[in-house]
Amino acid sequence: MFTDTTGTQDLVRVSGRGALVNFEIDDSVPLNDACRALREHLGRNRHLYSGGEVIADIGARLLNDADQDRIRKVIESESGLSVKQFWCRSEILERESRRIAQLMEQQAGIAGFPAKRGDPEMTPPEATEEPDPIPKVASNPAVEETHTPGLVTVEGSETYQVPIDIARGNLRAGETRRFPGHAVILGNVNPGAQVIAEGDVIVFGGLRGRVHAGASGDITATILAMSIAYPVLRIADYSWHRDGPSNGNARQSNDGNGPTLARVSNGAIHVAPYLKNNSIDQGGNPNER
Amino acid sequence: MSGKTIVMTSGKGGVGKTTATANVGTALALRSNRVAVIDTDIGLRNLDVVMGLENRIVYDLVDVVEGRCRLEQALIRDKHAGDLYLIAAAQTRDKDCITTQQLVSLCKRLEDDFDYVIVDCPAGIEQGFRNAIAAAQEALVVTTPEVSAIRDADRVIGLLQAADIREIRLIINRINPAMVRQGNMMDASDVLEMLAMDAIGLVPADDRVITSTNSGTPVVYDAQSASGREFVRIAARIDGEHLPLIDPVDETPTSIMDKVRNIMGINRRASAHV
Repeated sequence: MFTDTTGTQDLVRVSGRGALVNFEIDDSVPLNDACRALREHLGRNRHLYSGGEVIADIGARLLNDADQDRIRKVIESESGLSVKQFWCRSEILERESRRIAQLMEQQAGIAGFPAKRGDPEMTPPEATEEPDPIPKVASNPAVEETHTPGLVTVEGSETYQVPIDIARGNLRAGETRRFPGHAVILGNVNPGAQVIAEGDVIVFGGLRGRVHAGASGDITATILAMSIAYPVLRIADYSWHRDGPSNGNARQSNDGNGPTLARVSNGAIHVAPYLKNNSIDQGGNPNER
Repeated sequence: MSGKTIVMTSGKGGVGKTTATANVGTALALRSNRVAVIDTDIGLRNLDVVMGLENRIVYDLVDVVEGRCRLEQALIRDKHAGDLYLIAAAQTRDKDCITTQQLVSLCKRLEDDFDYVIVDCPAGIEQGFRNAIAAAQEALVVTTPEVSAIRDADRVIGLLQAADIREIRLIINRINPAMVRQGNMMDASDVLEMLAMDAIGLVPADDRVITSTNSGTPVVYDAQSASGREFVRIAARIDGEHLPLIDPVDETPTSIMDKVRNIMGINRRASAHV
């Protein structure tokens, strides 16, 4: 491995070797300066490269397609390397995802997603008027649904902006429930049942079916269930599943675990026991898997 | 007289709906109830065979609803139980040849003359299923302790609830105590927890059912049959008796001493799962 810091005031750092070369481009200077520094670095060190793929790490910078093409052209024309992919810090992507989700909600006339505790950027907009009642989906009458308009505040804790829908009863095989906001299920989500929500999903029961939280792309959405057993979880575009027992023992109802939280972290869904002293804003459960 | 219609359904085929219908119907009739059982599995009728009445069929369900015979002509009296009658399904037609309204109308007429009308539902959730559940006030969902059967039962329970049938109870059939003890089969509590439903019977796997089905004599007539005894208890519970559920795993003796105690009729453990 080698690390090269050039005379371009450390604007470009190259690390790795072989097929794993990584270009780290300083994210604190304007893009023009970064491109110039990159060109100068490659011009001086052309002899070091003999083709292959590299990864461009653009740090906290968030680039559009045109800017990415610009960097790609500099690297590929000056060195003969090809850019395999661009990397960006996950928190930048998350923040941008939240911003886009907020914009979409404002355009749709629906109030914002929940403010996550400790996130200063996510102060929910004031509730000026009640949103329009959301039409209910005709389905199993054993599952009662209630829609909670207005602002729901848990003292000293998170503030949720509506809509929050509460489904009372078990969701059974073949049922699909769509929720325009956050979903609270007072019952089990059985194998073969599916919950799709734009926001968070909380299951006060066993989760054995499919749940898709943040269905419009909100990667800050979370899934919380009292127990889980071989479910299929999706948050935004990420998915997670656990296979059933391979020995054919079908004692599937013995979930054998307690409250469990799923959320997106570092580009993957992490599922871990929900610990009251390890809330999300404090980093979550350190043992999450 | 105003009886009630109970549909016996499962979603999955081969779990024992027809056997349960024949046995529960017979056991109810043996308790001095007037019982009519209707086979709605048009094209694949079996209930007549299980009850040993296949040679007595002249008119069937389709003949009744299409007006080719009177209702009384299609009611076949059971050989053994005096107040048990069967309306057989047509063998040469399909499930779309009767409508929901026709079956509802038929059951209403039968409720005037019978204490219980038990509808044997076909497998699946298509038109035959919709017809069968349309007239029912109560449902018995038959399942076995297998993942696929439970999944289908769960689906069917959801559809029954959507059809506003609130009185739904579960019959868990073919529980194999040895497999449960070895951990290779879900036990009753697992199934009940998954389906979040009250059970009305836990029926053990029993080879005598095969013999009785082949001979056309319901297993409830066999006092030595554990499944027959449970079907009798199920009928009693339907009839309003409060009997505790007996888990076949607890009931099956595991040691010589248990067997001796069982023969002497002592120390039989009963457990309620509801």
